[in-house]
Amino acid sequence: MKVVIFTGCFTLVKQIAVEVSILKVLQYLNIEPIVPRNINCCGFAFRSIYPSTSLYLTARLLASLHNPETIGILTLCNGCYLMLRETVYRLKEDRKLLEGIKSHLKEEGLELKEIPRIIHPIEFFHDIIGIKMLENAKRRQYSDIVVATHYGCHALRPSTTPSFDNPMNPSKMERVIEALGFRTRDYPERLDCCGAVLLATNPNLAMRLAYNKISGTSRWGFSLLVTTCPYCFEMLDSRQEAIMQMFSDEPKLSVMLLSQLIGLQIGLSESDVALNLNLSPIDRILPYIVKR
Amino acid sequence: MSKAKIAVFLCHCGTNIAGVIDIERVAKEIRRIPDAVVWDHRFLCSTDGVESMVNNIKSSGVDRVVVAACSFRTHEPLFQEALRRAELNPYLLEMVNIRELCSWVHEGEKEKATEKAIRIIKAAITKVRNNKPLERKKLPIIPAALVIGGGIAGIRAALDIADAGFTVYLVEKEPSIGGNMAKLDKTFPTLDCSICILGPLMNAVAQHPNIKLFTYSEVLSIEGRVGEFLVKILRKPRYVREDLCKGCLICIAKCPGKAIDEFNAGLSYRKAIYIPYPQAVPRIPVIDPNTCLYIQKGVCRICEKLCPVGAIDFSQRGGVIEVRVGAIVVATGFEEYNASNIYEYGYSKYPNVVTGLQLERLASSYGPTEGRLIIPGLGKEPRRIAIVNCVGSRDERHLPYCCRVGCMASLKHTWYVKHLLPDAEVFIFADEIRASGKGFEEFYRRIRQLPKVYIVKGRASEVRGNPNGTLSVRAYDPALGREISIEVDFVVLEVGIVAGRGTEAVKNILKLGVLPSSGFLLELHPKLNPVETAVDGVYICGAAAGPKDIPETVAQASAAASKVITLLSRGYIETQPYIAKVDEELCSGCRICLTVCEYNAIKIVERGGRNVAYVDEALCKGCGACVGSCPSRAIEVLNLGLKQVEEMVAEILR
Amino acid sequence: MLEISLETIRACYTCFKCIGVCPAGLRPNLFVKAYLSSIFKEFRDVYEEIIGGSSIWSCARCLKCVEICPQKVPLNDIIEYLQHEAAKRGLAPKIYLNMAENTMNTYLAFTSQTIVSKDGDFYTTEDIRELLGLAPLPEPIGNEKFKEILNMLRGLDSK
Ligand SMILES: Cc1cc2nc3c(=O)[nH]c(=O)nc-3n(C[C@H](O)[C@H](O)[C@H](O)COP(=O)(O)OP(=O)(O)OC[C@H]3O[C@@H](n4cnc5c(N)ncnc54)[C@H](O)[C@@H]3O)c2cc1C
Ligand code: SF4
Ligand code: SF4
Repeated sequence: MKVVIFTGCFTLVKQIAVEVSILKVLQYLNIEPIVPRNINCCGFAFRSIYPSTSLYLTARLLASLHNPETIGILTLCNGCYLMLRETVYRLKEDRKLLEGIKSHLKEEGLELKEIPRIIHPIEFFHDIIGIKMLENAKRRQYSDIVVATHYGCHALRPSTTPSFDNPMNPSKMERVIEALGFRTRDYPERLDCCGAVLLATNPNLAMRLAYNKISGTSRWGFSLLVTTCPYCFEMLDSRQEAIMQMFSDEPKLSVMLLSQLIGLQIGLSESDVALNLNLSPIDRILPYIVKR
Repeated sequence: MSKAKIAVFLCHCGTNIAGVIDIERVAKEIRRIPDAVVWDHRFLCSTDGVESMVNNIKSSGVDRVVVAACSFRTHEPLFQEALRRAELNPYLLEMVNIRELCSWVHEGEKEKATEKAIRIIKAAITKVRNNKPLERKKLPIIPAALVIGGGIAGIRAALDIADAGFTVYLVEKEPSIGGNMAKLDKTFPTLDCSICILGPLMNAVAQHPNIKLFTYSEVLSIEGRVGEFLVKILRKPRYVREDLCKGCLICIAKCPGKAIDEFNAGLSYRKAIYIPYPQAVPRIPVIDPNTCLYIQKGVCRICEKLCPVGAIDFSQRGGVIEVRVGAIVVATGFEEYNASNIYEYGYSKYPNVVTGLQLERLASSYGPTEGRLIIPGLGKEPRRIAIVNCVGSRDERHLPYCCRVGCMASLKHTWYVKHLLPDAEVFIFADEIRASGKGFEEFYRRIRQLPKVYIVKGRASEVRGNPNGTLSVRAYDPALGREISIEVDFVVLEVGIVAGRGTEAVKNILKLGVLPSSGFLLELHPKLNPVETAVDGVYICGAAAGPKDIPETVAQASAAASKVITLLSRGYIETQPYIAKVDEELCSGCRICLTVCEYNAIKIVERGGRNVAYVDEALCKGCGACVGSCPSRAIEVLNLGLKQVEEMVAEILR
Repeated sequence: MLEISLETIRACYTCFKCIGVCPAGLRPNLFVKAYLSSIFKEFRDVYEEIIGGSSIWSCARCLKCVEICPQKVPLNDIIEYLQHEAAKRGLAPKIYLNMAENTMNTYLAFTSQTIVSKDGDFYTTEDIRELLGLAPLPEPIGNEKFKEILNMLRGLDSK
């Protein structure tokens, strides 16, 4: 099986662990990743300011990333995922729009022959790799570790654009994590926003949102929070210390990427999944997960 | 001029028609037709107009009439009566709608509208020449009625019809009649005890000599037509003989079976042998086969040993009985919408979030807590309560319509709380309080004046759990101009209502129409025929016909009953005369028409050794579906013959 | 390009449910009202205030309001519409303009960053990618046509 990997700018330049860990997991699962180099920004950040420009950028990705020998485009960032799924939806609905975009692409020597499948990492593990496979691949059973799931807003919302799970009450990430031998529990902050989008325009507010998310989640006594999105990871993991400080609080939530957790559970090493790039206090949970 | 045969009356309808159509020109044009004679009138439907019509028909000796005016739907009976008075068969009248179909829709094109009017009037003249005098037939009626659903609507309708002297078969799917009203503790706006006003009516049903009550039963099929319906009723096995049981309920005490109590909205358990509630009618237990140890595992039979009269009968198999009735009332009521679908309010996620009906059970003296207000699962009294309105209602994601009882129920529920726990604090979240009924606004004011009641005029945004088990309700309070988050220990959701599975089952059996957005049964006309349906002899009432409270339900039930009584006491029905007729010479017996007839009005009969189609006059609606389907052109609707239609088309295209 | 359906926006019945879920403390329904009432001269100032103010740029795009709105009002569309109108007046946050500019020149919105590891080591993007055996960042070569198209579209978007 082959799959196209689309990292998105932010993973590429900042959240390296997202890319490293997924590539390692794919290798283990014997899936060949195709990582195209002719990529571009999906246009998410300036989508309201330059709507047609960003639409073109996303459509351009569909053309340049598409590879008929693969199952589709595994999109690592929730922002890119929203842009791609929305654009796919719009282009399928609107022939005229599609034709206009195609003619611009042609000027660039690109062609959009068919609209590829856009795959979210959770969807990838749940629907494509499958629960059975993960259950069999896991090395240890950890029934007493309770994991908080964090899907990230743009994985599922808005529900007007189809996605891979129920936007108000998703469950696929829970099932993946349970297949790995952990427990999960619903919590009120589960679908809350990490605030990352506001980093550009209102950083203080962004920090407050992240603080609410982290402190709200911590109240429930989870051992670990897991996400897939590089932006959510930036807020909840990389910046956790700074955020907590800003509100005179302490870092208290261990955060990991889903691909890191899967990697560790199927026997990859900490460095394989770049665990040294996690800045949240994972040390307290690590001994329970990894055999050192 | 040859002797005129056809009278043509042109109506101005004030300026409605004459403001667009040049009546004079129309008259001039129609007068050229040798056998036509023309009159016009400013308001043909006025007493004066009808009078002149009668006189003109009589004096001119015409034998056919065309009225060019408005819609036959509203005015045909009036003009047919005029023909009758002028001693003409009323079916020799043809109406042409030059208002809705002409002047109103072509307001800007007077020339063309006039031209169109002329053509369609000419077509009608062509047609009426071949109209034949028709007669309505009288058919007998079975003087009995079927009432489906034993809620307050069905109870009221059954009592009214039975009091008028007719036999009523009342079918209820549950073990007892009473419906949702039996679950309520008190009723707004007067706060009377619900079962205290319902109970006597339930008993009156049980004792009425004219009512045959079938509880724990469902209607399987209904065939036939108004005046003569054949109804098959499935009687589910009760495993308790109704003829022997004395209602002592000794059998229940020792039963080891356990199941979720549906009547108490899932808040408690009942035995496998049970009556739903103490006032149940009939007071005869049922054995739930899914939880009965004997039926499931072959051991137990304790109830059988306990019963002093030997009424327990595990050999019961249930059965189907048939009854014949002249009319049917559908009163299948409503169900609460599934509150778990509205994720943001946390129903079924948190044990201390309940629905309005669950609160009714908690407040009820014969409920799971015997009237003590206790938080399910937590076993303690609430101190702070949030009541959330419009849960699923007025919500395009769920139910687009208003439930019409939630606002008042939320006020009533506030009263319950304050009555049972005077110190408790109550927060109502409602972007609007709809208090438009009689005495409702006064009730609203009364509740507002209670101490420690706070009304937030904004829809609750979400309900979130806290680690200590309390819940936070978030909303925006427009009066304060800011977001609020209220910590409470108990949340009541005023959930929207839906027609429910019981109503849907009956809808399918009777082929009734429903409102697509909600599934509630459709009336024949929302203003003028609110309890009639498109199926003759079938009437609707109560919450099955749309969300409503008890006073409206009762009024509607009595209205439906009075329609039934009118029908049954007349003793006969008149068929409508525009029915399909089969030319038995031409019919090949191919049966195609049977498949297209929506009303099952056609059957195959033998005539001189041949199979031919036969139309039941009482069932045929004259829709013409069969006419179009017949490959032998053997079937025609009376006064709408194929030749007549062809000639009309030719006239219009001329 | 940004089509918002007026019909669905007008459906707002001011229940305020969206306000209570907004984590950024905004009043999403005020955006709707400002837009709809801008046709009446009495309310024009509300519209102007919102277009010129910072609230539209404080939306976290969490899309919670859209999800819980009982009238399915596309609040995300209206906020983006208002942001676009503001941008056309030259009020877009500079950082977004820079990102668009970056994208035009390098295909990517971001340039190289500093990355810290748990052990307190600092790396540049390029270094750590090489260290971990990842492909280097894409290079912007032969992107004249790309620039041309993007410039043209940005022009359209600014009108
Ligand atoms: C929480 C709540 C509080 C309320 N409080 C008040 C109040 O205080 N005052 C007030 O005026 N109104 C109140 N109402 C409204 C009131 O409950 C209804 O107006 C009333 O119950 C409607 O009566 P009904 O007979 O039409 O329907 P129902 O009470 O629903 O009765 C229908 C009956 O038909 C039976 N049935 C259904 N399908 C079939 C079938 N296929 N075959 C046989 N039987 C069938 C059902 O089992 C049921 O017994 C309240 C409603 C709710 C939800
Ligand atoms: S939730 Fe929807 S309907 Fe309610 S105020 Fe907000 S936009 Fe309007
Ligand atoms: S999408 Fe924006 S306005 Fe809507 S709730 Fe989220 S932050 Fe608030």
